[in-house]
Order: sequence, then structure tokens, then C-alpha cells
Amino acid sequence: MRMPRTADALRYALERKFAPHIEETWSEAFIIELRLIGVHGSRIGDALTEVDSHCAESGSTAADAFGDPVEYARGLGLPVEDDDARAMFTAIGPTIVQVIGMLILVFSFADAVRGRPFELTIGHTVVAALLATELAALALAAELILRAIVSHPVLSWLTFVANLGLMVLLLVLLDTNLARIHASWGAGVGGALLIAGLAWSLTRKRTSRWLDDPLVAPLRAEGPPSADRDGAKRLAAFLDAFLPWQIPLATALILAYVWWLA
Amino acid sequence: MDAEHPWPGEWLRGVLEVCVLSILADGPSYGYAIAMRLTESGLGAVKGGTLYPLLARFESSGFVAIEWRAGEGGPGRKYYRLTDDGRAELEQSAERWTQFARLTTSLVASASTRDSHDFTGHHSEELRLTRETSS
Repeated sequence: MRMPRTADALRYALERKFAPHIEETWSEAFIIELRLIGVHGSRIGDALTEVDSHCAESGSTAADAFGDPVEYARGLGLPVEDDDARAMFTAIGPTIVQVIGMLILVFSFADAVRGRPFELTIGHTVVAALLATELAALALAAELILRAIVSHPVLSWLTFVANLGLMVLLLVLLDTNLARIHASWGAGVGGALLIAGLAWSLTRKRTSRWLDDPLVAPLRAEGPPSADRDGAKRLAAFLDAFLPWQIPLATALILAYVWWLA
Repeated sequence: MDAEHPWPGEWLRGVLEVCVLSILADGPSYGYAIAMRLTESGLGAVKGGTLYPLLARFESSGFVAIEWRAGEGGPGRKYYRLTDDGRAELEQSAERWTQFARLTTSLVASASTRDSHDFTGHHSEELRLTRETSS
């Protein structure tokens, strides 16, 4: 099915910018494969520009001259970034702490508002453990999971929704009490974990550039940036700064909703 | 014999490395120009999917140094320049390849001569028998 022109332009904006002389679908598959392998953005830009240069001069298509993009990407044997499990775990650690803090805070907040004690159920602990395990698995097997999402996007979405449904079901079904604590204590612990996760995330952002790896063309024009590039940079900087705050903001919205319901 | 692919792929894979190093010994060059030189030299069309992974291996082994230069009205070109390590590798590979080629040539040439002798001998015998039968 042919995509609408605007959607097409948005989807292949990167490919058109870096490799205007080759098939967009070929470039897309090539970039995704190199990203999944863990090649640095500047090396991807270099390899893609070289393919573009060859095709522009020879007049051949990338598929004709270079064959299958995934096989070609693997065959290049480009050096990969040091993305060992520890680095990945450190990268996602703050998110795990924030999510657990959010759950405890949200679960106990409603009871705190109503002046009731917070009843910790088996469902609460199972869901928290499941979520932490899933996030850890995402960090440790990122390549495998991303590959599955890229290859089967619809199935991945259905799995995500089913997982969410399973968590709600566990909360409803496993309602046996494990402990009864003062709700404000639960809210306090949850809030403290959330703040600790945020602080960890902000500190890590200042010391690590793990996620900041854009595609870089080998012959970038020097000189003052264009308005377009400047705008894109500002947007990227805003999104980058917003990233650590998304869980605390989502929690604040949920708490406001719970407050309004009570 | 196909004009675009005159030689079996496995022969080319064996000889491509030393050929590309030899081309680079003439001066810095870029992928498409190297591919053209290979075609002009009679080796046939070498696909980008074969040539560029080889150049990437040269780069990671330190046999070549890289320099991007702006193209003429088109995208930039990635120039490969032979390093001292690359020159040493070329000397070694060229010497070994020459030995290998000499060996195979002499083997194939002697087999070819033997075949031709066998054929001549067999042919003569056939003629002798024919003459005897007719007389």
C-alpha cells in the first residue's frame, strides 16, 4: 500500500537527507541494521554516504550494486560501540527505580487521601516484580527485542497491550493482603524512590552520552547553522531535557486525577 | 564467457585484495574509481557489495588512511590512501601471489601440454590402425 506523500516524507526524511541518490527503503533497512548491531552514528553516516556516492556516479541502484542492505551492513564488519550489559543496565536503572516509585506512590496515594491504611497485596508485588524484570530484560536483550519490534510491529503492539492487560488482571485477582501500612508511609517511600530515580537520571545525563548518537554525514557543511537545522536542534535539546521528567510528570497527572476522584 | 563477469567469482575473491592494494599503490582513490580500474583491467564488474567490505577491512587493519573530499557537483568521495602498513602488506601479498600464479601456471601448462601429447598420440595411433585396415 502506498503511503500518503506527507507520511512518506516524514518517514524517510533522514534517508533523503543523507542518501538522496538511493532507494529510501534500502537506506532505511541499512540504517536500522547498523543501529541494531550497535555501530556509532558517525560510522553509519560515513557508510551510507559512500553507498550514495557510488550510486550517484555509477547510475545504478543500491540494490543492484550492493545487494541486500542487511547482508551488506553485516558484511562491512564495522566496529561496534561498547554497549555491554552493565552499560545498558546503568542506562535503564533510573527508569526502573522511577517506575517502582511511581507504582508505590500511586497505589498508596488514593488510600492516603481517603485516610485509610495502604494494603499491600500479592498483586502489587507481583506486578512490580514483573515490570522490573521486563525493564531489566529490555536493557539486557535490547538488540533482540528491538529486532522483534522492527520485524513485527503489529505483533509487538499487541504483546504490549496484552502485557498491560495481564498486569491489571494480576492486580484484580491477586488481592490477598500481605501487609497493612500507613498510607502516607507508602506515599513517602514511593515519592522518595521517584525523586531518587529522577536525581540518578539527571546525574547520569550529565556524565553519560550513551543515548546521544545522531547520524553524522562525513562532509558536514561548516558555517552558521540554517534556521531549519537550528530549530531541529532546539527541538532535540528540549526532548532530551524532557526525557528524565516524563515519569514524574505522568505520576503527577495520575495523582491529580486520583485526588479529583476522591 | 560473460563480458561483465568474465571470471568465476571464487577466482576474483582470491585475487581482489592484492589487485585493490596495487591500484591504491598508484595513489589515493575512491570506491567507484577503483571499481572502474578493475573493470578496465579486464577483471570484470566488481559489485559494491564485494569491494566496499574489502575496503572497510583495509581501513580497520590500518592498511589505508581515509579522507573525504567534496565531489564534483555530487556527493562527497571517500578517498583511500595506502599507509606504510598497507605498502608492506602489498609487497608481501604481491610476492606470494606471484609465486602462487607461477606454480598454478606451470601446473596447468604442463597438464595442457600432456593433454595435447596424449591427444596427438592417440590420434596417430588411430591413423596407423586406419591405414593398416585399408591396406
